[in-house]
Amino acid sequence: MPALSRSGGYISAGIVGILLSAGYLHMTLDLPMGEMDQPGAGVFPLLVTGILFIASVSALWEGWHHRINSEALDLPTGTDRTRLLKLVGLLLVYFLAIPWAGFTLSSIVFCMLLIRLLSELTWQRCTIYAIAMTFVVYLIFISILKVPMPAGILIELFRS
Amino acid sequence: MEAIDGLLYGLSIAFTLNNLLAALVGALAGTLIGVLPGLGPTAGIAMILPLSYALDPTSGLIMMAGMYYGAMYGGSTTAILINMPGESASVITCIDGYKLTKKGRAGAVLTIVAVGSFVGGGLSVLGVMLFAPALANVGILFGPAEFFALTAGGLILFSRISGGTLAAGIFPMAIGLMLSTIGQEMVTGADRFTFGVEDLTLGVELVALVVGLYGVTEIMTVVESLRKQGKPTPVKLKEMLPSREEWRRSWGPYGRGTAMGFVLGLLPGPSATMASFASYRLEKGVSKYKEQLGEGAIEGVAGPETANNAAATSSMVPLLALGIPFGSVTALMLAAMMVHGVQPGPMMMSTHPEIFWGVIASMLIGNAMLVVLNIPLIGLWVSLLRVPNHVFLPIILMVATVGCYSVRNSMVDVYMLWAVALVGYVLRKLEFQLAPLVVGVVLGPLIEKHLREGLFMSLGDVSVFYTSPIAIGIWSVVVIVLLLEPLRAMCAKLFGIKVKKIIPESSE
Repeated sequence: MPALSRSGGYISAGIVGILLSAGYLHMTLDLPMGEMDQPGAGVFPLLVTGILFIASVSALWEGWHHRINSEALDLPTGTDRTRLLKLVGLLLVYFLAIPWAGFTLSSIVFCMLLIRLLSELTWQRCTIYAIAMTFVVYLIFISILKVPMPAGILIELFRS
Repeated sequence: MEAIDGLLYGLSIAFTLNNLLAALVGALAGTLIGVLPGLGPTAGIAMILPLSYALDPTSGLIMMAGMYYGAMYGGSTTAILINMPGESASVITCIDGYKLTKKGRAGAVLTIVAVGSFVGGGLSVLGVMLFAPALANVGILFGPAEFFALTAGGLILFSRISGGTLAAGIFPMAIGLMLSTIGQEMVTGADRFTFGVEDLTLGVELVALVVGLYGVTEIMTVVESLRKQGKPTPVKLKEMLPSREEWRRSWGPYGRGTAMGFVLGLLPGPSATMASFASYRLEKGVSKYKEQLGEGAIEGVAGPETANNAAATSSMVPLLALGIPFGSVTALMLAAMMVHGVQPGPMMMSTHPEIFWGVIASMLIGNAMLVVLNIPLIGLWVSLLRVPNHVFLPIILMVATVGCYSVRNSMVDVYMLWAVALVGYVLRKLEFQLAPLVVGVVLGPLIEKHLREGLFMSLGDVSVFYTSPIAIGIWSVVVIVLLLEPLRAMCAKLFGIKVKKIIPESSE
């Protein structure tokens, strides 16, 4: 796979920005504009559309202008990339699991898997560490500071 | 209220038990944040932000200010001991700091830094005390057009000075401004860009945005290049005493660093980082020992570390006197004030003197606490550097999740944390600056407010925004700064005149 260059990234960012400003403008035009002395809710977003468009064009121009001698992006490869993707996936699953399995159970599983990903500890050790860490966070934030983290729909169903 | 009376009043506020505790917790938490890799001052303060909502505004802001200058000090510890800066303002400290550690002077250097941070922070407080009321008095003359120029022009300036190319600053700024328009509009109460999601009615949550952009993104960077962690050499208390020669050589850099840091802290841009780099350059130019800089000279540590603390302190001036944050940390402090219903700006000195003077006086106390506590506690900070990644990264991620959720008990904010982290990671890899995005989100509503007020008061006459002398002055500075780089390039191309780049490559 050819290495992604910085100029390619800028060109992509510019294109995304232009598309974004087009979509944003479309929604802005549905807002009331008011009069010059009584500006409505759409006036500032209209200004922002212009700024976003100019910024996107400047990113596109810079990317295009430097495309010949552009350096490759410093992206992870091999095991480093796999580890990063696993972290991103783990985080997504963790966040999606919280409303269902609750903060405590999700956190224990998340920590266990993350520790395993970042270290060479055995599963048993990972589990013990995960329980201990979650307990500390639970004690400080949920027991002492009374943050009402979700208990979990499944847990609630099980209780009822 | 005169400056001296104000300071005395502020000291009476800062010396209450609650506020002393807030300064202590802030300074310690800030040092911890600075020491731990993967958590800079911005993300750390964002995580504490929900906690500050539970405190009264003065204590909350005292704690946040304490964290800011605490992080400046803590960041230097890792730079000196393991050649890894805890935050961007300490990057330059690595050069001479780590070389001195290899020469066996780690303890002495840490003491020089602690005292320098105190000197820079303390003297800068005196400057803030004199300068902030004067600026607030000028600010009283400002109307919507001047405030529009200051907020919009300041944001453009900040985005340009943050580093990198023009697009690297203004593209994230535009995204930030766009995000700031999400939610209920403040005049008519109309919902904008919420897509029917009720949790978005109150807008994009700043904690999720900042923790995602700075915290989770940084953790992703640590995880992608997971290497064996550097283990610091233990530092004994008896090794903490600098020699007479080291003291003698540090006083000059302390003074120069304080002056440089104070001035740069008043300007838009990543002031602490700029101050430490500028101070190092200054030392290279004027120090008697300039040929030793880069090889382990105490001036290369004393100057920059004093400068970044002085800048962190003086960056409170535009925030407290004009209500304008010129950096991501002060933007968070502005957001915290607004949650408490406190409108910072020229009137704050008379409407909320307890906050204005209390925060200023607490910085004096907090900086003293940093010296008194951090020299004996150095062993603790060093031992924290031995905590493996697989222990502190899961804890930080759990705390980040709780922090984001706790602001308004919304899972949408937690999902946003994930999405923002991905966007932040891509932007960082492309070397876009993240701070303009955050400042854009915070300043967006203020710019809109001043724009609409200006149009309303001038009966729709747009010329109001560019006819007042103050507005003309501000916009002129913005135009000059924007034209600097094209002019430099033109001079080089047409006349062969080579001028050093004025805008830094990157500040993050």
